[in-house]
Amino acid sequence: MSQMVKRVVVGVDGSAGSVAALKQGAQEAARHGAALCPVLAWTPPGGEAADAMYPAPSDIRAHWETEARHTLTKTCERALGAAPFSLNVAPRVIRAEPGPALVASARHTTDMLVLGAGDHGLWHRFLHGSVSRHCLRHAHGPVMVVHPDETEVAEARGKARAPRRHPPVVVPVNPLDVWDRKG
Amino acid sequence: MRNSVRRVVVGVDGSAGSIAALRQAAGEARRHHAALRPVLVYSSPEGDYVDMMWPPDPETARELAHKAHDDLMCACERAGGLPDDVPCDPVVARGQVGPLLVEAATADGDLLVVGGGSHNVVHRFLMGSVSRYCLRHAPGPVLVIPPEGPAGHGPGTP
Repeated sequence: MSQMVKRVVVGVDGSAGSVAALKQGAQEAARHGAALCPVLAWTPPGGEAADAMYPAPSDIRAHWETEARHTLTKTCERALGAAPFSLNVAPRVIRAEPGPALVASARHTTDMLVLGAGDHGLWHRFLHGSVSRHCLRHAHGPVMVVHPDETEVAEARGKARAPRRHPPVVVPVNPLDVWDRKG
Repeated sequence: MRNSVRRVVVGVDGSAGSIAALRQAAGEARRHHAALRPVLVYSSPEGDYVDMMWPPDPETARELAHKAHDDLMCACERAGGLPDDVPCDPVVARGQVGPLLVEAATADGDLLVVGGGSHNVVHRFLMGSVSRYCLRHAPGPVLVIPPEGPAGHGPGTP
């Protein structure tokens, strides 16, 4: 019938969206009896090009890596609880752009990719693009996009700003009188 | 248990991508012990905007709904039939696809499943992307199923 999912790859960046994605991914993995692979992709703060021109000293590079690992562990703990997990969890840290790294990590059709929806402004979108959109375009298996809990968004932002609401849905005809259920 | 899936809403339009989505959705519903709701959104022959201003008379509307319901059942058959072990609730609706799909999956615990659609640039420009609309506007998780066959647009298929 439907394809089995053998691996659930979750994109993690430490944001509220990625915590929600990890929670949902853990549920999916438990349901399918699949392995959960949280993946954190990172690039040097100045970008790969700048790092290639003027390579950072090894201790700084080590610091970035430790930082990435730390973020991944923290996010896993926030989403899944303390360290001994009931699931088969295989976290990975990859030095690459997040979109290609996630697509490469979930390269089989039996891999499900779970992402948090970025709640970013236009400026961020323009500079960084959308990871979820890249994955939707290039992934080989199903892709699930999860919206963060509003409480977590408020927590992450320090309640500085109310979570942005989506504009109301404009529906041309009243759906209630055309929902037509039979059989 | 806010995150648990209690109902799987799947958008069906009869295309091959939506058949694959329906199959996947049936599997998800079974694994989550959730209800399955296939939704087919149709528009009247005059188009959505004419329809909005001059709605068809009740008889025409009923005929259109019947036809859409038949199409939906036909699509379900092509996907291998609706599963017996999952409560199913097929519905049809008239109007714009994106908003109505989002509307159908607004309850807490709804998972929305849509096919990815493999359309070219002209189609994208004219029609937009339903999956992208759903991702932007749906309150719950959205599962997008890529079109079957050779995963064409990935640059390096391993």
